[in-house]
Amino acid sequence: MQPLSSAVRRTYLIVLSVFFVALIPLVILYAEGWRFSPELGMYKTGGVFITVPYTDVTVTLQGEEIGTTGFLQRTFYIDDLAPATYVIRASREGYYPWERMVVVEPKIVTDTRVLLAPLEIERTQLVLSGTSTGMRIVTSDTLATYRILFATSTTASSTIPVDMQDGVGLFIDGGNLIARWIDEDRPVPSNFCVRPLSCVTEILLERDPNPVLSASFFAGGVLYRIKDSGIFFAEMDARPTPRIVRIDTDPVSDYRIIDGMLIVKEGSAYFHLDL
Amino acid sequence: MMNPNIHGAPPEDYWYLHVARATDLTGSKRILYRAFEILPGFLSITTLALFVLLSFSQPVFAAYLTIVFAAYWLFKTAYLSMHLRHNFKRLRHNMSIDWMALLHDKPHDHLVHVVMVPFYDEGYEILSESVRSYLTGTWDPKKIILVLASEERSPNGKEVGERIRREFGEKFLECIVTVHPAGLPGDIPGKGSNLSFAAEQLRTHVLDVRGIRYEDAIVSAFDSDTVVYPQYFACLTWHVVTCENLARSSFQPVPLFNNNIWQAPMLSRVMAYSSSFWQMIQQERPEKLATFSSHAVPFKTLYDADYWQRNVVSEDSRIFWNLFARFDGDYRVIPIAYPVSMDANAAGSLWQTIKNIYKQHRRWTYGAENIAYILFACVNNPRIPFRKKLRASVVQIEGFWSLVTHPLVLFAVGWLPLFIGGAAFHSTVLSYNLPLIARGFLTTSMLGLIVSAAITLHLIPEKPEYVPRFRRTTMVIQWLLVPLTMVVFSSIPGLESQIRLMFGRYLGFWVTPKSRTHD
Repeated sequence: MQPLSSAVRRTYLIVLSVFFVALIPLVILYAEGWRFSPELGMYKTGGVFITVPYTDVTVTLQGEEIGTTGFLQRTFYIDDLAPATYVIRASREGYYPWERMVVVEPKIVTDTRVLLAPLEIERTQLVLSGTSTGMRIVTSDTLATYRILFATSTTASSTIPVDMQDGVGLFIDGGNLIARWIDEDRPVPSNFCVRPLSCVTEILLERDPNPVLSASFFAGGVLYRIKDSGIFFAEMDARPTPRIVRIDTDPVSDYRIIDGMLIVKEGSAYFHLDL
Repeated sequence: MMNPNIHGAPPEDYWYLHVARATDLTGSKRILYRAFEILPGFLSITTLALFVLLSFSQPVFAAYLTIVFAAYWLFKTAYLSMHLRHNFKRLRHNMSIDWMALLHDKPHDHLVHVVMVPFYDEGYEILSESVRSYLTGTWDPKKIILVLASEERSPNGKEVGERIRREFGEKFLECIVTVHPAGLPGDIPGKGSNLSFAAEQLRTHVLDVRGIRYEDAIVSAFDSDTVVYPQYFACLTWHVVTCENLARSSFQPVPLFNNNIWQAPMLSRVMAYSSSFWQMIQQERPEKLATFSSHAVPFKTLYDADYWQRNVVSEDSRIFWNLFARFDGDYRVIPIAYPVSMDANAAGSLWQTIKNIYKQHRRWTYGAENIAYILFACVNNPRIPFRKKLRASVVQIEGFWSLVTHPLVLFAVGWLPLFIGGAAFHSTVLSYNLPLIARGFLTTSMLGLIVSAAITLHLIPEKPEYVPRFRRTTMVIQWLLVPLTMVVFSSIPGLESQIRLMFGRYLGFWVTPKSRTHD
C-alpha cells in the first residue's frame, strides 16, 4: 500500500485552504453581528442578554417564549435581533410579572436583569414566646439588639449616600430618592442606559409628596421608606418600566437589614419579611 | 549523486557537525548560535505576550485572532486526520503482509541487522522481554547482531547485560555488551553518548573482525523497552533493499506504547497514543519527518557522520539533522509504517506518573534545540540547497512554535478578551459570540478524537484477563482529556524547554523510568 500521494495531499491542502480563507471573513462578520436576508441584504444586528437569578421563570421576547430558567439555565442570550425596541417579560407563579423595554442597537448587546417581587410577602413575627403560625421565637438578646438598631438612624444628605453597592450610591436629596453612579473609573452599567449608547448617571427612584426617610440595597433592588406611606421595594433601572412594590402598608413602620434579613418594626412588634 | 570523497570521519568542512550548544563555540559564532537558541522561545513568548497585550488594548482584534486560531485548528485537525487515517490503513496493511515472501526475489542475504539497545538502570525483565521479541519474529536471529550498551555509571548495568548475553547471545549472530565509561570528554550522560560509544565498539570488535561491510549493516537504535512486532526486521529489510539511495536514508517505524498500555493510567495512555498518532501523521508527510525514538540507519551512514551526537538530549532526532548537514541536505527518512512497541509512562502512583510524563515530554519538546543546530548548519554549509534550508528551518520553527502557542491560545490566552477586554468590549455582540464560535470550532475539531478513539481500539493489544472490563471503555472516554493534556503535557513543557534554551539553562538527559506490573 502506497503512502498518501503528494497529489492527494496537495488536493486536501488546497481544498481546505480555500474553505478556510473563504470561511474566515464570513465567520468574523457573523461574530460581529452581520446577517444576510434576501429582503434586507447585509444588515447589522444586536442582541439581548437577560439574567434571571431565579428558577422556574418563563421569559418572553416580543411575546415569544425564549425559555424557562432552571438549575443550570439562569441566563438567555438572544442574538440576530434587528435594531429596534423590544419588550421582555418574565413571569413566575406567585410573583408580580416583570417587564422591560430594551433598545437593541447594531453590534451591541443590551443586558438586563430580572427582578421579581412576590405577590404576597411572607411575614414572620419575632417573639419571645408563643406557638402560633406566623411567629418565630427569638432570644431576648436578639430583640434587645433589634431595639438598639432601630433606635439609631442615618442622616439623609444630598452628598453623602445612605447606602452604596457596586459603584452605585443611594442619595436622599430633598426627600427624593436618587441612585447615582459614583465610580468614575468604570463606565455606567446598562441599567443606567435608556438605550445602549445613551446613558445617565442618575436615576430618580422615588419622587413622592412625602419625603423618603431611608433607603438601602436589598435582594437585587432598593428598599426605602416614605414618611406616612410605608416601605417600598423598587427596581433600579432607567428603562421602562421599573417595578415598585409596597411591602408594608403601615405608615409608621420602619425597617432595618440585619444579618442579611429584612426586619420590619410595626409599633413595638418585629417582623421578618421574606422577599 | 553520492559524493565519492565522503568516507569515515567527517571532513573539516563539517566542523560544526556535533555542536550542541552556544557554549561549544567562541566569538561571533557563539553569538550567532546563542541567537538561534533564543529564537524559538522568543517567538513563542512574543506570540503569547502579544495576545495578552492585544486583549487589553485591542480586544476586538484579539477576538478576531482567537476565532482565526480556532478555525485554523479545525482545518488543521481535519487535514492531519486524513493523514492519520491513511497511515492507520497502511499500518494495518503492512502488518498483514508476509514481508519474508516479498523478500523472496530481492537479494538481501548480504544484509545484517544490528540492534543497539542502550540502557541505564532498566532491569533484566524489561530487557529480556525486548530481546525475546527480536528472536521470535520471522527474521533469522543468526543475521542479527545484538549490542547491549550499558553505562559504567549504572551499578548493575553490565551485570544485567551479561546475563542477557549469556541467556540469549548464542541465538544471535553475535551479542556484545559494551560499557560506556563515565565522564568521557565531550560526553553528556545519556543515550546519545552511550550509543555513539557502543557503535564504535561494534565497528572495531564485530564488523571489522567479521569483515562485514559497513554498508551491509543496518542499525536499529532502540530503547531498552522497544519490543518489535514479528515482521519488523523483514519489513525493514524490504524497505532497505528497495530504497533508491540507501546511504542517504534513515528508516522510521511507528512507535506505539503498547507494552504496558493496560496498566498505564488514562493520562499516560492519552499522551502515549497522541505521540504515536503524531508520528503516524508524520509518516504520511515524509518531507517533514525526522527520526524519533527507535529508528534504523545504515552503519556506513552513521560512521560517516561520526555516529550520534554525544552531547545532546534529543539524539534521536538530532542524528537526522547531523546526517542532513553531513550530506548537504541530501538526506531523508523513509517511513516504514510498521510498528514497534515501547512502554507508556506508568509509575507507582498517579502523581509520579504525571511527573514522569511531564519530564518525558519536556525532554521530547527540548528537540527545539535542533532549531539552533539546523539554522547554524544552514549558515555554515553553502552546499545545502536554499530550498531545503528554508523548508527545514520553517518546518521546525513552525512546529515548535505551534506546539507551544496553539493549545495555550485556544484553551487559555485566547479567552482573555472576555476577562480583560473592558466594559466597551463586553457589551459588543463580538464579545458574546466569541466563546460560542470558538467553542463551536473546537468542539467540531474534537470530532477528530472519535477517529483517534476508533484507531486506538484497533491498535491496543488484547486485554489481559486480570484487567477489569470497564477499562476498555476508558480507552474511548480518555480522549476527553486531550484539551488538558495538550496544555499541561505539550505546551507547558515545550515552553519550559524553549525558555531554558533562551536563558542558556540547558537540560540534561532524563531517563524515563520503566516499570510494568502484571498483577
